Amino acid sequence: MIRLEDVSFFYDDFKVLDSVSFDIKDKERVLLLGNNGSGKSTILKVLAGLIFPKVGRYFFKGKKITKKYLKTDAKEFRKELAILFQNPDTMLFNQTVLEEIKFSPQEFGMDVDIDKIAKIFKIEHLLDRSPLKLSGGEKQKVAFASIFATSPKVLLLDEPTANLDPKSTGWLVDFLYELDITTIISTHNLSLAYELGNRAIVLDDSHKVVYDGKIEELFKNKELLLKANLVHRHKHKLKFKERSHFHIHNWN
Amino acid sequence: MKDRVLFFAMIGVIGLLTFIHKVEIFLFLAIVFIFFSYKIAIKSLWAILFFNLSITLGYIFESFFTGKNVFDYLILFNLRVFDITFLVLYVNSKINIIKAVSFSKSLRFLFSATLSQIDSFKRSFDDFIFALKSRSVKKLSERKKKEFVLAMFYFFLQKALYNSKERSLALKARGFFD
Repeated sequence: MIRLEDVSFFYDDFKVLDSVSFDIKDKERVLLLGNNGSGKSTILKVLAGLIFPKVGRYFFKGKKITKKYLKTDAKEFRKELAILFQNPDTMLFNQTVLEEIKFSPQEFGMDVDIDKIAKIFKIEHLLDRSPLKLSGGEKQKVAFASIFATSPKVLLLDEPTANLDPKSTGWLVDFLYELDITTIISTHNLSLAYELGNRAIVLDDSHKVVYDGKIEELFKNKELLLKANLVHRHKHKLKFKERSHFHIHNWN
Repeated sequence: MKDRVLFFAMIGVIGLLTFIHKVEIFLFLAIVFIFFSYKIAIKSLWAILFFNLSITLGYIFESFFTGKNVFDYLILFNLRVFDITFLVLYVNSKINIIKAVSFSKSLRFLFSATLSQIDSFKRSFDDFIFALKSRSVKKLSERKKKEFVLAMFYFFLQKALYNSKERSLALKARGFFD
């Protein structure tokens, strides 16, 4: 369904992706793992057709995604592939939550059952409120509901748990678990990795893919996790003896 | 040291350029600059486009009423702004500005705070545009355009207020002022 072939991307002279290649099948649940600045968000933007590889090629359903292609077929492409940004503030601008959810389906000429969407995301009580005046977690849910309203085939989620409280994080994990569509989630929250996906693609600070495979196998490879800066090692004092062991990073 | 020397050389040259009023010199410099780095020349043109266009049109508009010949002045003005902008962008691409002003605690703080603000605002602005692009395919209606701009304005205002409050508290905590 999705194929990246030797994709590199630069901002001015600064490399953010270096020869990244992978294939993602329909309904796969993939986690993009890596430290801050490793290129996870850039990959999601490339997959969403918002920026284009400086080197290499990107195919979606066998079609090469280029600026030229999206000039004529943006509607079909954007309808199928939805992206949730890390900061929900940048996604919300309508006067009410109701209008926010209606926005994309209207753009793509689709019907939407607002009540059903609101019920799924537990935001029925927010429909008449301004999305700009909600809490961080509520904004995240509204932004998610707004992209979900077009029934996309592929969901690209950039650090979806970053703004959520523990209760909402639990809800999101359950929600994603039940979904039967392709999901690509970028995160550095390893503690949720098992629940959010079954395949991991790891980028390290050189902006290259250093691992692509099962999450269980990745967790056995402590050296790789350390190299990708996903875990750290620090000292403990235990019964007056100093020991050193690995810790999973969890900034949320 | 290299950063500091280049930075002050740039300031010196900019100072010198403000005292020169010969179009030929600015034209010669502009041609040299374009050959030197076409990429930065294009960047400079985009950077000054709106500002120079509005000033130029303002002068042309005024000349209709006053009958003054503003052509020579406008050529000089546009070339001078282009040359200075090119110089700043070029030197900026070659040096670490924070290192260049590291001799002064206040300047170093001012530059790092300003640059980090610019970077963070630019990222958010890009995300606003990308998010809209990912959710729409048609041209926005006037009402939606207004809502989009207002939401962006509200976000940046809140962000600026929050950041400045946090920054002043951080400065206070580190003894910059009481």
